[in-house]
Amino acid sequence: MRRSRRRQRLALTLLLLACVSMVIVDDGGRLAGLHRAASSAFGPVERSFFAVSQPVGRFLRGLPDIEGDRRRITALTTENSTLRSQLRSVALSSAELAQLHAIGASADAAGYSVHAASVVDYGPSPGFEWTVRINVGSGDGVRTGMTVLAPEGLVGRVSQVASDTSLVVLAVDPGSSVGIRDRRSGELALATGDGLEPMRYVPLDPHSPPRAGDVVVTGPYGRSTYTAGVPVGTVSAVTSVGATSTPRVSVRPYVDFSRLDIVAVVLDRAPEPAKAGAAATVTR
Amino acid sequence: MTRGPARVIVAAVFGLLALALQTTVLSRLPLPGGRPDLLLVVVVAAALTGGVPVGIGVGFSIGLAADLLSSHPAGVLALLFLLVGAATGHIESERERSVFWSMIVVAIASVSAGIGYALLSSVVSGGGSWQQEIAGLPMAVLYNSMLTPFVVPLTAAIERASRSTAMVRL
Repeated sequence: MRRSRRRQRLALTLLLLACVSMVIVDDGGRLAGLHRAASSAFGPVERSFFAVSQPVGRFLRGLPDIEGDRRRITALTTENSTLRSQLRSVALSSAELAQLHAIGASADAAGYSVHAASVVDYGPSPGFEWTVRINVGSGDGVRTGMTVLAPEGLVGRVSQVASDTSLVVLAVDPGSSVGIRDRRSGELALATGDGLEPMRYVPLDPHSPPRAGDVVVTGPYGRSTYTAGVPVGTVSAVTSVGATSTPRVSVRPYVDFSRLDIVAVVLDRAPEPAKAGAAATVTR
Repeated sequence: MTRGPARVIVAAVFGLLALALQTTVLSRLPLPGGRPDLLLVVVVAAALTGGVPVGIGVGFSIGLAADLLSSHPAGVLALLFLLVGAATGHIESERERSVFWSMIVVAIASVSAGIGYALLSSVVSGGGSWQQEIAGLPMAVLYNSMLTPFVVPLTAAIERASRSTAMVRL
């Protein structure tokens, strides 16, 4: 009995040492290969589970919204017919549109090529970090650092790529910061994630605070690796703490991060900070 | 206690199932205030049925597997679950096996793990914020305790079944 106690204590000590050394070694990302191998090996298991759980999950997640969905369908149908009639009038001036394209005025907005993907799962440690896994990987041209979008706006950034899945760190991850631009004032700022709470907005210039309702999009900021011009959210609250200190600003993201389903990875546009200026847009 | 490859294989298969269930189903449930942590409940259940050696083995393996599938450094969850498994394994000797008792143990483990997450996330890069960990604690305790009545009897049954298989093989 005493011997087995001692052996247990020895095993516990060795494993503890193993854990601590692994954390130290991997903290700089030196075990990325091991992460990738595990993701690739776990992929098939996960995908078969996903195949079963996805329809059920979509149904269950949709249930509370059935009434809202019906209203949304009516609204969308109305909007659709309005848009269609607008489209008819726009089609007349398509020659002008072609010219605009030639000038390249909208190149920034139209230049992306994207790859659609489904969210396979959320990270295994709930609350500890905000990540999702998507069903596209290096085989589809996905690389680390690429921006991920949902129809509503920014989702996050690819942090690890396996052969047919990738891990996406969400913009609301408390460790994540997004360089943003206030579309009304053009001010640059940083939006830091805070889980399901609104994101925190830290302006570059503390003397020109944003107004509630301002739309913020991704913008160049330091080493920001996000594709520029992607909608992030709206400024939801500006609270002044004191007369002298800078106000606390929160940004409500457009994307509902608790119900991610279909997303898209922006494929071209590797992060090149030098290219983020206005000059690059002109020379192109 | 019997040992043998059969037991390890059975444990690995069910560990993988729990991991897949956590990532594909439980983590994406739109529940208010937090998410259930099936992996933690499985570690506690395994340690309650099998004692310290099982607690240590299952805690370390499941933690490491979850680590490798995440973006934070490997070893963080392995360390946490290893300690939870070892601590829970010590309680096993009292031979109390009621569901209510295991729910209390799970609740205590959830609180300790939550504090552990909070401490680790302030040390390690890629983790969350400790304020959020603490804020999510009450709901995590509730959800994990609700999983317990399903997980603990199932783990005990698997343990019993795998033990008899191992006997037959040997």
